[in-house]
Amino acid sequence: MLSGMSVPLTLLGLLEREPSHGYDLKRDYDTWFGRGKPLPYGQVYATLSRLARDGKAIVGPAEPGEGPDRKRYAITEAGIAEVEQWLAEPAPPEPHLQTVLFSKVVLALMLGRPADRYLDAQRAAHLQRMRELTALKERGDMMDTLLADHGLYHLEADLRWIDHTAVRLDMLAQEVHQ
Amino acid sequence: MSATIEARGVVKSFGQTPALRGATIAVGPGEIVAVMGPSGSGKSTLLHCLAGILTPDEGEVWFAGQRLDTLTETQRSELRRDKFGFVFQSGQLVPELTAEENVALPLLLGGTRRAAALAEAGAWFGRLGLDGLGTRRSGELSGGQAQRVALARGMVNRPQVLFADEPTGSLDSVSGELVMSLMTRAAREQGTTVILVTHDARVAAYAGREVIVRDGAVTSLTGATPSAGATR
Amino acid sequence: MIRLGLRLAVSGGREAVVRLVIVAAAVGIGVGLLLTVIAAVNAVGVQNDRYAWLDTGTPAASARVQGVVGIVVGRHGRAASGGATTATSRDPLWLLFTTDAFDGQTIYRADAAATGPDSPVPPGIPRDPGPGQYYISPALSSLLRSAPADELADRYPGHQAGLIGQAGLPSPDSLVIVVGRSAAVMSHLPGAAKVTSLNSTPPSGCGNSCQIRGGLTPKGIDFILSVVGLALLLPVLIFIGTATRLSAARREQRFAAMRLVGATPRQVSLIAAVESAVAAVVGVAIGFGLFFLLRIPLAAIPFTGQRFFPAELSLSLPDILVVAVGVPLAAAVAARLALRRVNISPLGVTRRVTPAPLRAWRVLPLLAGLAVLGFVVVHGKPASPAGQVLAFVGGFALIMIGLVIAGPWLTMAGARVLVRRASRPGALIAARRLADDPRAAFRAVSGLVLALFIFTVAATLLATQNTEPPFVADGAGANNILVDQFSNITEVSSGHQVAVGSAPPPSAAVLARLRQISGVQGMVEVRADPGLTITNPQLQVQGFPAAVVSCAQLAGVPGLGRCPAGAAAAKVPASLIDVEGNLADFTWPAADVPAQRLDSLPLASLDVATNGSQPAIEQARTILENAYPTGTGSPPPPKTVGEYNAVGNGADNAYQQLADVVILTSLAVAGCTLAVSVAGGLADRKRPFSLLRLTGARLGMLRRVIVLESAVPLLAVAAVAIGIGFATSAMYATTEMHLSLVAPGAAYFVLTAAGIVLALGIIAATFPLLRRITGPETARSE
Repeated sequence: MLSGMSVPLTLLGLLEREPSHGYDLKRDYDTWFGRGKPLPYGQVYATLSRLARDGKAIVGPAEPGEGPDRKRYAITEAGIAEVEQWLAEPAPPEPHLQTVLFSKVVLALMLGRPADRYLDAQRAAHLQRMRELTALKERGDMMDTLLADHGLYHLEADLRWIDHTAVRLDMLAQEVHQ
Repeated sequence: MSATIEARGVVKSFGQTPALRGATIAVGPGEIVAVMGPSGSGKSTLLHCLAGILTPDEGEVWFAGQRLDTLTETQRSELRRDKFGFVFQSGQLVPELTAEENVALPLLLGGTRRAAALAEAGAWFGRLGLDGLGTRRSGELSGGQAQRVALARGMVNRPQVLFADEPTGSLDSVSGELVMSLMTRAAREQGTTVILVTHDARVAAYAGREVIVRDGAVTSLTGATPSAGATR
Repeated sequence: MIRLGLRLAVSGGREAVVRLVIVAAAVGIGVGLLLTVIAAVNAVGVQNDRYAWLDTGTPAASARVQGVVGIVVGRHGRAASGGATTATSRDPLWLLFTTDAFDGQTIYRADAAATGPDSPVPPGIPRDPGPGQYYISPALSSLLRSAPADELADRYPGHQAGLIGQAGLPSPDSLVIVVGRSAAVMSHLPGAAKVTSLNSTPPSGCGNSCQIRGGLTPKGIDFILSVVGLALLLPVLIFIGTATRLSAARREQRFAAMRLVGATPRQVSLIAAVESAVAAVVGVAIGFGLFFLLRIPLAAIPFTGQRFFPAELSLSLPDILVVAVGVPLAAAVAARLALRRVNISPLGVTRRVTPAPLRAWRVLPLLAGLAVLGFVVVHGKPASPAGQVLAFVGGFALIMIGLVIAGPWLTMAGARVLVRRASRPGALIAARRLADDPRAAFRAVSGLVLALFIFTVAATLLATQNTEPPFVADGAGANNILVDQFSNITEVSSGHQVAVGSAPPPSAAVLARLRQISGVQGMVEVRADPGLTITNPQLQVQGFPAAVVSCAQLAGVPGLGRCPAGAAAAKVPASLIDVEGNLADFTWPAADVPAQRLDSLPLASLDVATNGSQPAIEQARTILENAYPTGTGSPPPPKTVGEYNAVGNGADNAYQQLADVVILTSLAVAGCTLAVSVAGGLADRKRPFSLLRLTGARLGMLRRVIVLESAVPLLAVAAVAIGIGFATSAMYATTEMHLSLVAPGAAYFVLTAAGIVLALGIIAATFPLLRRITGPETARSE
């Protein structure tokens, strides 16, 4: 799933297409990027307000007879530039999950616990997740498949690291106990 | 639930090298099981013993309530022809025959008349996206096409068990996924049990459960006994 | 299943078709040869049958037949005990056979007189010739017309009544004449006999020690068949074996794939048998085609010393059926047996285990063969001809098969030497491959090695045969002395030898006519004097019956020896032609016989010295035959000393031609084996070679590898084969020919070297294939 950091940028990108109401932006976001978890209206309007405050979007004049949800937003030059930069810049390859697993392995070795069994359990969990993702691919459409593949490849990479580490547990144990 | 096919304490050595030391596994009807493990761990040997290709030095192999490892070579050949299907990594098609004839081969060997066998084989070409390739020889097919032909051949006689050994090992990822997808779909449609040997996790993910072969024995990652898993 | 096998064999892609073609070609050559041998056997049988009537009256033909000995194929050996004959006639036929000679060729002459209308008629003529008539073979007829009358035609009284048909002639070149006489004349000819039927037992059915006038004894036929069979068949079988091994790995792989899918071992066996049979059927068709193409040219080769009538080189229906059905059947069986050695598992060739190292026991069959021949040398020949054939042919066969078995071991030894001495990568690679699979390496050159062995044996034996000193040596033109021998040496009951038979001295007219022939240099009348014996140690016989010659006459014919100084008469052996050694060297002892008595004695022989020219010899011969018509004294008509010697040599020419044909054919087949083997080996190693080239190995290095792989086994085993060949010939010469071995002429060494160079040339001919096969495209990942 996409992390929270990118919700403003995603909404901004959707806004770049044409000036839109908040309602339209939420609907599009949910369709393309929600994956079953629709954005709360509050978050949408709060994000849009922040974007306007930061000068990346502007609010159009209020239309007569409409409530606050019928405000129309439009993107600014600064907003366009920000979207451009975000798209062009590669996402940081932060293996945050590896940090967790790494800590667990090292701690287990320090404490003399069966690190190999923990790794096996992690493998089983990963494989179960991969099964779910694969089943999703079979059922779903192209977008589902793309997302699922992304997850599968990551999980596979994790498993590779786990295999690699499992082989070196003895060496690691020696280093840890020095 | 009774197992369709199982190995009990199978021991198999090649010369001085022991490949399996008491391997036990049971697979239920319609299950898709991935047999994983590092290379050289004996997973292929286990598959060969389960399929009756190799005879274990010790232990038993059971299929559909019958001892498999005590059958004669001819009986096991007939079993492979009628009840089993095979998709191996490469080199399994007969180069002198066309793709259609390759698919029809198990039927021809079983005595089906040529016209009927080719017709039944031909039906698979559409299902697997191989339209128009029936008259090509294996040398004229791409890797992915050849593996799909092998899959068709493995399924044409409606086997009870499909044995797959690194079926996508020589393929690029897209072709490999296509093969695995088609394989699992066809197996589910026909209720075929699948025993899938692979070291590739993304391939193993197509199975319902996995077992690991380590030190010549079969284990599961969660520590549970590797008996017939839950139904899908 | 059968349909599947057919499908795989015939339309299995380019590689399968190439293999099919090569195997079919190999089988075709083998079948062609087999059919030729069968047809030759049939033709020999028919030809031999036609010698039968010429043997009418020989002691063995009319006695009980000893039993048929040797290989009996087709029309041989019709004889049952008692000697087969034509139907008995009421009216007997006077018959007298003699053999005559003209220009080195044998003429069979029968003088015949019918006593009644029902007298037996010799085959090929409508009726018995009357007095003053003769029936004559076409070849002799044209000879009569072309030669001067005083050399030939004058010998035969009468005029030509007709030609002898094929039924009475062994060969189109046979010189046969049936001269009609009156019964009265015949009854006075010594040696003439009345027969009521004509012999129809062929010489081969005649037992081992009978006298025959022409044709082959069983021993002769057996020898020819065995030699041809062994020398030709083994290289052809090796060629077929090499061809069937093409693409063996790929085919085994394909069978493994089929076994995986559930083909039973029996089904695989059946498919392999069908594939094999298909190739064999195509091969049989090719073989029949080859045979019918080669029939006519082959008939012109005198395998037995005489040509065949072309139509006789034919196959009977059973022959055709046996080959047409038997060869594919044998191929199918061979394929099944070959599969038995290889275990085709569903996984194909899984664990590649290095084959067991070759043990030294492999040289045992070869040594056993040599031992068999050695045994014969030490203990003498077996008594029966069957035993002799078994010993010689068996030993020969053991040696040849022993060479084939020992070959891989010798290759292994050669490979080890190469490894020690190899410094360059090419040699190392070649040595490694030889050490890895010496059997395959040797198989490629085995045909050549066998051909070399056969060539060595044949060349040395023929060289030895041809230098066999003649009964009477060639010194001082003894070969050109025409001898009309009237006295025969026979053994009487007491164990002594006596000279029997004589002839009256020639009339002055005859002597005058003889002297008038230009080319006649002198004459000796050897006078018969019973009771005289000669005990000259040089003659190796004591108490040998002697005759007397006038020293004056002897002085004119130095080729027959010398008189002691001052003697008027000398004692000479009664039968000069039975003497071993150079007559011209002998100084005969003086004889105490007064001249008057000398002139009154009858003749033991009349010897005319000529200058060797054909007119002189033939004119003298004609005069002698007319002066002493057939039947006077013993059978032998006048012959030169050279012709007496050539009786043995006539067969040699036939054998030489046969040997030439056999060796050339087996060399051609062996060359094909080598070519196919090298090309096949190249195709099998496409990938490793092309990868080598990609990583920087030069084409020249690969070429060196290929050359060494074949050259090392060839040279290693050839050296042994040549040595064994000399040994084999030496043993055969000692026991059978009673001669010591003579080194073959320079031609042998030149041809051997040429053969080896040719083999290298064949290997070099595959270099373009190497270049094409190891091009960069092949190294692509498949």
